[in-house]
Amino acid sequence: MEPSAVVRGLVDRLPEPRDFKSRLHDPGVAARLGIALGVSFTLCMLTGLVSHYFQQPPTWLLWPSRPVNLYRLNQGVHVLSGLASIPLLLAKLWTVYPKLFERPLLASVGKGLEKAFILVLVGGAAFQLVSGSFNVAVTFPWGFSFLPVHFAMAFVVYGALLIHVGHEYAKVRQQLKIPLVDDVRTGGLTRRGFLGVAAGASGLLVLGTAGQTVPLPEPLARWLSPFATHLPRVGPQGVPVRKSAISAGVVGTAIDPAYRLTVSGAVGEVLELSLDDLRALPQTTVDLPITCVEGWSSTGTWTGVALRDLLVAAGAGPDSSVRVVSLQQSGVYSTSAVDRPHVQDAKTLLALELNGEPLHIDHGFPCRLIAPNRPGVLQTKWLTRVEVSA
Amino acid sequence: MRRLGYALGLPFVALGAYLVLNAAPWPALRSVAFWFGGGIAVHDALIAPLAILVGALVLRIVPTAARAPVQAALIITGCLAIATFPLVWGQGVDPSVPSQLPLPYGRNLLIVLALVWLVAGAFAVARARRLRRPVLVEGS
Repeated sequence: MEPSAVVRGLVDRLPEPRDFKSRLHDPGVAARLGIALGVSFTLCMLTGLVSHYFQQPPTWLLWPSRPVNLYRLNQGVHVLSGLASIPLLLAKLWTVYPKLFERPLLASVGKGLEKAFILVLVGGAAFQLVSGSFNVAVTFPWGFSFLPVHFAMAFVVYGALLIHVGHEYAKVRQQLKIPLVDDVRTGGLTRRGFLGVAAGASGLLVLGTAGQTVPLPEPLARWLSPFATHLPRVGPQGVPVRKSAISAGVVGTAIDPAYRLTVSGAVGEVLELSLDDLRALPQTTVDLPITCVEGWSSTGTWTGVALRDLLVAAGAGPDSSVRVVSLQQSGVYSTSAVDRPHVQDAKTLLALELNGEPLHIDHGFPCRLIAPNRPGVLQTKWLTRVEVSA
Repeated sequence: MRRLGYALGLPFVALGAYLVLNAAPWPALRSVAFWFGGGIAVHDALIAPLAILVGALVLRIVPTAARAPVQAALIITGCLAIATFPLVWGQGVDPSVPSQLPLPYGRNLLIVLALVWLVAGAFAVARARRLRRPVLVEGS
C-alpha cells in the first residue's frame, strides 16, 4: 500500500465529532468554562505583569512601599488563580475535544487561522500552567530559564486568548441565553453538575493551597493546607526559607568575626560596622511579611537598624537610593536596588533579629534587608555592603 | 468582534513570540517547543482518551443511582492528581532547606481523595434510597 493510502486509512478510522455522545460535549458548557478561564487567565496575566515589574522595575517606575501587603496579595492571587485554572482548562478541553476531529482540517483560510491560534492557545496555556505548577514545587525538569520564558509565553497565550474571544464572543452570548436543563434520569452528570464539579476541583486546590499565604496557627495550617509548598509558621524561628546559607555558599563568611557592613558611595563618611556596632545603633522593630514570588508568605517580627537612620548616620542626602550587596558571591539575587520610596519608609530595616532572636543563618545572619511591599527575592540576605547613590 | 480580537491579540502574540525567542535561544528553544507540544500531545493522545475510556466503563458497570457521584469523584481525582503531580513527585525537596516542601504530599493527596470518594459514596447511597422508595401514584 502507498504511504498516502495508509494515512488516509488511519484518518478514516478516527472518530468524528458526532461519535462523541456525552451531553457534556456542549457549547453551553464550553461557553461558561471559557468565561471562567478568561477571568482566571486575566488575573494571572495582570498579577504576573505586576510581579515581573516589581522584580525588574524599568527606570521610570518607582513602586510605592505601601500598602505593606500589596505584593503579598498580588502573588497569592497569581499562584492561586493559576492553580484554579488547571481543572477549568481540563474541563474545557474535554468539552470541546470532539472538535479536534472536525474534517476537513482546513475548510477555509479563516477557519484554518482560527484553528492555528487555538493550537497556540492550548499549547501555551498548558505550558504556563504546567511550568508554573512545577516552579512552585521548585522543580525544573526542562532546559530553559523559567522566569523569562514564563513571562514571554504569557503574552503569546493572552494574545491567542484575545483572538479566540473575538471568534467566540457572539456564540458565547447566544449560549448564555439558553438555560442548561438536563434529564436527570440517566443518572450521569448533568451539564450543570459537570460545571459544579470543575469548580469544586478548582476550589479544593485553592483551599488546599491558600494556607501557604493565609496565616493559620499550627497544626491547623498543616491539616487545612495539604498542598501548601511552605507553611507560614514552619521554619527556622517560625518563618520558612527559600534559599539556605549552605546553597548560597556563605556559611564561612557569615559567621566570620571579622565581618563588617560597609556603607559607601554618596555618603559624608564611609562606615565600616561590625555586628556589635550595628547592635549599638538605635533599633527599630516592625512586623513585615516575607513574600516569595512562588506565592507563599509569612509575617515575622524583625528588629534592626532602619535604613534611613543608617543613611543619616553616614551623612547621605535625603533623596538617596541604595544598592545592597550580599556575601553570596553569585546569582541574580545576590544584590538588589532599594529605590527612594523604600529607602525613606520607616519600616525598611537592615534586620539583625527575627522573632526576638538573632537571625538564623538561613534568614541572613548577621544582617539582611527587610522592606514592606517587596518580593522576597529582593529582601537580600547576608548583607556586606550598602552602596549609596545620590 | 473577530477583527477586534485579531487587532488586540496579534500584537500580543508577536511580542510574546519575539520575547520567547530572546529568552530561549537554541538549544533552550528546543526544550520550550517540547513542553509546548508536549502539553497538547499528552492531553489529546492520553488524558482525553483515558477520560473517555473511563467514562464508558462507568456507564457500563456503575448503577444509575451512583453514576453522577462516581463521575464527579473521578473528575476531581484526575484534576487533583494532575495539578499536584509536581508536589507529589517531590523533586524540589532540598535537605538543606527543610521548611521548603515540608509536607507528605502523596499521603495528603490520598487523604483528600479519600474524603472526596466518601462524600461521593454518601451521595450515591442517598440517591439509591430515593430511587428505591415506592412512588405514590395518585388514586392507588
